[in-house]
Amino acid sequence: MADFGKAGKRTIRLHDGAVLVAVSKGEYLAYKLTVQGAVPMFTFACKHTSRKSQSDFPGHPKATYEWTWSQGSNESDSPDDMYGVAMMFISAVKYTLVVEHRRQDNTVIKTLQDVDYESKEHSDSFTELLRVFAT
Amino acid sequence: MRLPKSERSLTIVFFVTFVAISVSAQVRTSNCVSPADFTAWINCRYDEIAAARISQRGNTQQVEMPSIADNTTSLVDQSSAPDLLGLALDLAGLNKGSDSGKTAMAATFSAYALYARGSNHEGLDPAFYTRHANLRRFSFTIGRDDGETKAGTNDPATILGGKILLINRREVTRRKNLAELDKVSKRLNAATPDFNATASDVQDYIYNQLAAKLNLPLPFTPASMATFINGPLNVGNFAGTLALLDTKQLDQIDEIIVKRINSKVELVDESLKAFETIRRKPQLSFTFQSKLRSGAGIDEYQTGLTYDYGLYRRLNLTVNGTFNYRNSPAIGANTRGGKLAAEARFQLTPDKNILGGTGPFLFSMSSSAEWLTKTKPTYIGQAKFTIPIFSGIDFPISVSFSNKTDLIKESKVRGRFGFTLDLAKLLSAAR
Repeated sequence: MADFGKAGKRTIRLHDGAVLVAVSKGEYLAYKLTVQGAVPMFTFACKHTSRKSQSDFPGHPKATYEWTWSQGSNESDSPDDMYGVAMMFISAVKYTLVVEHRRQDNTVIKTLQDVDYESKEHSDSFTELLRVFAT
Repeated sequence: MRLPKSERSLTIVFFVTFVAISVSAQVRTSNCVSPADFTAWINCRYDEIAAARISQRGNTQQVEMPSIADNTTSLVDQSSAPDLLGLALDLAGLNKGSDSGKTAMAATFSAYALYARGSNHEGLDPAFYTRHANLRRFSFTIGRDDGETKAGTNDPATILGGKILLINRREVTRRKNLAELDKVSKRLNAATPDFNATASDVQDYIYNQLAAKLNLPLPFTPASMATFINGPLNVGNFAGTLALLDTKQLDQIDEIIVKRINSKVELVDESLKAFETIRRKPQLSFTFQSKLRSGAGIDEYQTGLTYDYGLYRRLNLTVNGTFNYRNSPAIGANTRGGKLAAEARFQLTPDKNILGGTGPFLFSMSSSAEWLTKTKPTYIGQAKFTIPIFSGIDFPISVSFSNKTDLIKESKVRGRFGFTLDLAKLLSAAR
């Protein structure tokens, strides 16, 4: 049976669903999305608005997309928010998402998520969630 | 007045039946069983409720699944180059376990796959994939055929062939197809905040409902909610947490999901529409195939053009015209001629087979006419019905009619059935 959609497989190496980020102390989140396929299609959004999608990155389409949240400035809409990376498999077959909680000096506090998502079914999609409490 | 015993029994049976039906009507149906964690479960419920919304709409609004000539479910070319050394050994009959007189096999691969392998590059790197779109126009076939031949010889034949896509409007990296994908991306941008908000509300609801049972503080604090999400809602624990919710609470969760489901429905619609639009676009290819036999065997050559087009929704049309040449070692026995063939394939059902897996029922009608020197024209018609048994296993039943074969002059009707195996699908279903 599929882990998601019709034929999706989700391989979890590390997974937290929530994090407390001391933005006032310079802590931030670092995202890295690695893609296999023809044309990646994904969106990074909170519960209020979409923040980034694949076409916002120079060099798209490419194998690796990296971005941060609240590095250097507080990017939160509210102290309690839900962030998600939504991935479509209409033109890609595999995504690997790594999310790190980092200090202001860029050292890693904890790797929150390290997950593979695979599907050869064009209609499959998956949104990986992270509830973020910004302090 | 007391009812007769027979009427009392009937009344009791009717009452029990009524209660059973009522209870079963209230039982929730969901395929979101055994989710790894909250995220997997909420994704699944969201998909299920969106799918239910789509199927509730009228037929005129439903997006038809596309008719796909090659029966794939992806826009991405995932063909990989074979191990050429192993392939060569197989053809030469030098591989252990290979019966050199009876082995039948063929491998088809694209120039793109070959180039990726040769340059030691990941073929599914999106940047590499986009840069070398033209290499995917060229594909090659190498194989060995041990089956019956029209030439009347059972000598094994080496198959060498190639195909060039002169027109390939289905290439996903084409500008017009990228524009179709952009429409999907816009819908994704709109749908994702809704999903995130819904997931957040559902987490809050579950926390509030289970706070007493799990000794959680109310109202929740950032720390207590984070602990709850990383504990009872996370991998390894979520199934047990889900079991604590009763039907009424699960129904309440569905109500939360339904409030923002429309953007997901629109995303699914747009995605299906984009896929159908791209996969139905025309392809025109130039093909060349040869069967080469040693000794007294007859070499066969065929070259021509094939046009493939998704006519309308589930109907796909393929037309090809070829020039055929047979080179015989016997003096004066060479033949040459032409062949015209057409096939219309209709996908009868969505992607479901009789065991509930993937694979549509297909009906196709085809006809061909062949003219060769020193031979009377051959006309063949065929109707084929393909029943999907399981993902990767199909059961085709066909009826063919021809005015003559090469060897006998009587008209011939032939029926065939068998099994086809798609090894890639079987392996992915087994995972």
